[in-house]
Formats: sequence, C-alpha cells, structure tokens
Amino acid sequence: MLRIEHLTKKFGSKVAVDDLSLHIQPGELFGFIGHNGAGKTTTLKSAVGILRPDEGEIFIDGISLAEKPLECKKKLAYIPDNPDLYDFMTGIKYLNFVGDIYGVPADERHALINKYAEAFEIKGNLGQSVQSYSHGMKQKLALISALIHSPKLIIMDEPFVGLDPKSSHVLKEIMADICSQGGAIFFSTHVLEVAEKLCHKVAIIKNGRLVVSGTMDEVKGDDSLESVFLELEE
Amino acid sequence: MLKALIKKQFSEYFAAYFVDRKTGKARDAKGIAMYMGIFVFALLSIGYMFFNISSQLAGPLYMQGMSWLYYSIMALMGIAIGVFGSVFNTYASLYNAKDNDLLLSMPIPAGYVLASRLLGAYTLGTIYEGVVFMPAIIADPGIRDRGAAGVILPLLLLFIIGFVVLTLTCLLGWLVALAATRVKNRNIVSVIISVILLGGYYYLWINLQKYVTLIINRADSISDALLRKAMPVYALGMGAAGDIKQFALFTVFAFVMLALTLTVMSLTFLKMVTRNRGSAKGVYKNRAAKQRSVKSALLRKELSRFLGSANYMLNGGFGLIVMIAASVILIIKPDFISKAFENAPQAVGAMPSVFACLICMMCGMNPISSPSVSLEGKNVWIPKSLPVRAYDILTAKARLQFVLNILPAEILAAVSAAVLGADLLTALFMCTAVFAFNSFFGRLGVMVNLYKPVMTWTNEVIPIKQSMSVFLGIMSGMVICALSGIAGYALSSLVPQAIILAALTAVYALAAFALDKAFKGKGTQLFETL
Repeated sequence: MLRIEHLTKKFGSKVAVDDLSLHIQPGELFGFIGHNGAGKTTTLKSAVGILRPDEGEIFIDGISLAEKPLECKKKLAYIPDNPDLYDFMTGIKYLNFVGDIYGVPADERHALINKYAEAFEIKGNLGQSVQSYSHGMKQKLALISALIHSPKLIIMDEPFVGLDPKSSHVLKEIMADICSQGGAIFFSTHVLEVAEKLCHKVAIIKNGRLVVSGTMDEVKGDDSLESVFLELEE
Repeated sequence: MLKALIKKQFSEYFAAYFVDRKTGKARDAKGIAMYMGIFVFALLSIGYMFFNISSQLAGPLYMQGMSWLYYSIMALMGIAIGVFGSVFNTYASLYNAKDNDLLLSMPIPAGYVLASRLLGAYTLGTIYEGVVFMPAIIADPGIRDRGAAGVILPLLLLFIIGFVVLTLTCLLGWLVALAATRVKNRNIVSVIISVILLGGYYYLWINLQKYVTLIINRADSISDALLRKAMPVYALGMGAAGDIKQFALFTVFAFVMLALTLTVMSLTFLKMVTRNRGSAKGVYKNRAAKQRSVKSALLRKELSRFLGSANYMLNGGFGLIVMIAASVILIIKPDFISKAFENAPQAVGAMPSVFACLICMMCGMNPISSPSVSLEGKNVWIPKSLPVRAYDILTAKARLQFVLNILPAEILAAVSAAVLGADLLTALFMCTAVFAFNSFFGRLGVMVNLYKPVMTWTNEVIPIKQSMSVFLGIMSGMVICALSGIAGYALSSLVPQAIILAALTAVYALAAFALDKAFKGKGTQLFETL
C-alpha cells in the first residue's frame, strides 16, 4: 500500500531523513517511533506529498507519488501532528469542503459525517466556527475529514495527542476496523504502550536513519517495546 | 522583561525589513537598505502631498496672524490620519494577537504585555500622524519669527500628539473589542465601522479644497469657536505656534486623557484577551449538503476566508464600495464629468480609455489575491495534502479577485460609457478592457504573492496589510493602469477610442493568458516549495 524507497530529505545542510526504506502492506497497522527531531514528521509529510524528497521514491498502492501525485492523494488521508484547520469555517463547512474535493457523494458524505461525528461526540459542535474548537476538537474534526472519503491508506502524525480517553478508544477501534477491511495505517507515536498493543509492525528511526523495522515480535522479542526503544536510543 | 517584549513587538512590525520571510534568513545590508528605501519613499510621497495642503493654508493664516489655527487644523488632520491608519492594527495587536495566550501563560505581568503592545501602537500612530504634522511644520512661514521655541515646541508636539492618537485608537480599538465580545458577526461590525470612517475620510478628502478656502475666509469665526468650544485644540495650536503656557496646558491634557484611558484598559485587558472568541453558537443542520465541484469548493473556501476576516474585507474590498458609490454619483450627477473638463475640452475625446484605466486602477487597489497565498499560513498543509492541482488552488485565489470586482467594475464601466456618450463599440470595449484587466490582475496578485510569501505570521494584518506582495500588487496595478491611461490619452488624437480599448483588452488578456500558463509551471513549482 505504501512503499518508501531510499527516501532522503535535506533542509539546507541538515539531513532530516537519510536513505529510509519502508514497505507497508494492505491490512497493516504500522507504528513509527523515534525521538523528537528524528525525522518522523518529515517522513510522513514526504509520504503524503507535502514535502518533495531530495532522493528516493514513494509509491502509494503501486503508483509513483512523484509522477501521479493526485491519483496517490485520492487514495490516502493525512492527519498532521498539530491540526491547524481553517479557522474561518465552521466544522461542517470544513468537512463539506474536504468532501467536495474528494468528490464524496452528498448522501454518503452525510451518513459518514453523522457516523463519525457521533462516535467522536462532536456532532453538536459542527455548526460552530473551528476557531472556537479546543485542540482535541480540532483533532477529532481532522480525523473525521480523513475518514469521510474512505481512504485506503491513512497516515497520521501523533493521532492520539489531545484526544480524550473515550475518543482514543474510538479511534483505536476505527483503526483496527480499517485494517481488517484491507486498508493500511502508518502512524507516528510517542506512546509506546499504544504502539505495542495496536501495531502489527513497527519501525524505529534515529537521527533520520531507520534503525529497525519488522513485525512487533521481531522488533521487541521478549522485551517490552519501551526497553528496546531505549536500548536503541543509547 | 519589558525590553524583551518591546523587542519582540517591534521585530514583528518591522520583520519584513530585516528578515526574508520566505527563507527565514536575515537580509543583507543591500536588501535592508532597499526595503527601508521603499518605506521612506512611500512616507515622503504621502508627506509631500500633505506639504502641498499645508502650504495652501499656512501662508494666508500666517498673514492673518493665525498660525495657531493653522497648527490646530493640521494637527486635527494628523490625528484623524493617525487614528484611521492605526485603529484596526491597534485592535489586532492588543486584543486579537495570536500570541496573547502564550505570553499570558508566561510569568509576565499583563501590564507589561499591554505596555509593549501600546508602544508599538504609539509608534505606528505617530508615524501616520507625523506624515501630516511634520510637513505642516516645514510649510509654516512663521517658524523663523519665533526662534528656538518656534521649532522645538511643534517638534515636541508631534510626539505628544502621538499620545492623543494612541488614546483615541485605544478607545476605538477597545470599543471594537467590546463589540466583538457581544456581537455574533463581529467581522461585519468591524467592516461597518470602518466603512463609516473611510466614508467620512473620503468625503473630507473630496471636499478638502472647499474647506481650505472656507477656513481661510472664516478664520476669525472658526478661531472664536475653537476658543470657546474646543479649548484643547486651541491650546495645541497656540503651543505649536510658540506659546509655552498653552503648550504645557495641552501636554497635561494629553497625558491626563492617556492616563484615564490606560487605567480603563489595564482593568479590562485581561478579561478581553481571555474571552472565548468562539462563544457564538452556530447550529448544525443535520441534512446532506449539496455536492460541489472541486473548482466551486475551492472558490467557496476562498470566499469564506474573505468574509471571515474584517481586515481582509476592508483592505481588499473597500474599493468595491467606492466603485458602487462612483456609479451612483455618475447616475445622479451625469454632468459631473463635463463640468470637470470644462476647461479642457480637448481631453474629453480621450475619456473612454482614461476612464477604463481609472476603473481598472480602482480594481487594482483591492488587494484580494495578493495576500491570498500568505493567508494559507499554517493551513498550507491542507491544500498540499489534498488531491488538487496547485493550478486549481491558485486559480481559485485569482478568481475570487475577479468575481468580487467584476460586477461593480462593469457597472461603473457601463455607467461611465453612457455618461461620456460613448458609441456602442467603444462602450463594449470599455467593458472588455475592464474584464480582461480583472482576469489578469487576479492572477498577477497570486503570482507576486508566490514570489513574496509570508507564511509564518502571528497576526493576519501582516500578510493583509504589511506584506511586500500586497505593496507590489497595488503598485504594479497602479503603474500598469497609469501607463495604459497615458498611452490611451496620447494616442487619442490619432486612433479611435474603440481601437485603443480593443488593444488594451488584447494586452490584458494576453497577460492573463501568460500568467495562467505560469500557474501551471513556475506557479506550481513555487507553491510546492511553500
């Protein structure tokens, strides 16, 4: 579903991501772990076409992101670490805007908005300006906007930050549901317990380079993910 | 701590001169000198305009021994310009700054935050006011008669009047903020207040010559009225004209007013900035929305952005009201043009092309597309991650400029053509020239903004009012229209107006086409690097 091959991204002389390769299969929930500034966000932004790689190539569902960016973007959804959404819109306006861009039919969109807005308990706030939303509400709105066009691949940067416990639980269920239906999820997190419980596969990045990648059992063996991560960080 | 806050405030105001906001790197000495030079040139140009007005008043009033009245009037004008120029900036930087929460979360007394913001507002207001009052001092023929006091007192007053400007902008800004906490659609309230202010300003500007003559002819009765009903204004004028006692009186008055205002503000500042800005509850109507095309969705998003910001509406849309007002004036007073050209009948023949260029210039002074890329700010990840071509995103921004301008501009073109008595073909080409210009100018603004983006703003006033792309957009529109108008006028004795207008239409359309092509190439490339 997502193939990253020899990705290198530099900012000036600083190498943010160095020759990183990853392969995420349909049905996989793939966790991406690393310290602050390790290159997680740069990798994720490159994978969704926000940043252009200096070297390497990215394929979404077998299609080159560099050659056919629009086809690739139609298949994926991205949720950034800080959901800066359009403050000048109401929640429902923003969702309809995203729905229009992805060409989601009106009735289908309406049903999905209601489904996810009820699940995240934000339906009553959809008529309000995004400006009035808390961080968690913006995160929920960003999640709903990512889900209403039923993407095959969801790329999320710290998706649990700002969510209340119930919404975190709902999100975990939705993530598992998407993967069970053949979708794929690639997400970064600092919450290692969540990654350990949720993910089928995990990758650890350090100073822009991939340190380890594989199934959860392959990576952690009999240890906890936290101890493996801390050991690799040393 | 206060020093650090003041430094932050000023670095925000003047960052464009020292830092390239696109790369985040410091400008070299040449770059700083160039940007400063443009700023100084703009100030000198406006100052020269006020010097001319001052010169008309100064001589006659000096001859009547009423230099104080001259200073009173010029100071009032300076105060009006200062307040008008800085009131919304004061509101935005005091009550609507994005870093208020951040600063108030730090161990900084609220008074320090307020003080640093006020110093910034004072500087801005004094610059605006000084652009009027400084030329007035220079134009005063009596300044040499009064010795050192005649120079020092008006110069000191320039800075003291800045405090009066600050007092008034704070009061008005406070009222706007108060309205914003109680009214659901505060953007519309801001726009209405501004339109009233701007309307008054333009009314005065149009009738300025009449008032100058009136002041000179009725200097005695006006001075008498000021003395009886507006003592501080009298003291201000007398102080500027060298009366130390009146100078001291006015200074005390100015500082007492400022102290009272600051007391009220310091008591309410914290409450104002920590209010829940989104408290107005919108109701979610649980029904399916109409599905729209990508192009329509992008245009509607741009329109929402425009309507969601009072600053954007005012700065980008005020010319729309002017065009509508101009159409109404021409309909009500169709002989307005013929009277204006009574002494230059040879110019009447060139009027269709000159008018078309004037209408284009009015459209060019509505910077809607030139800040539109910068306004994406931190939201730029949204269009970049969506399955939309950068070309469509950029075109939607250009289309908003076109869509908002085209109707009032075409109405004005049609009304002008009728009033000028243009034949059908000339009238038609007046309309096509305006149409083609708007098509071109919207794209030009977007392209300029792509080259000069400001994506890391904390206050939307920066991309809307203080960015280089808006300045360049307006200036290029004015220059293009002025050159087109001059060419039209110069050729009017050789070529029929319809041909000139058809040629202008073709030039603007070609430029629009070239920019449309550029959107697909360089424009897309620049957008992807944001």
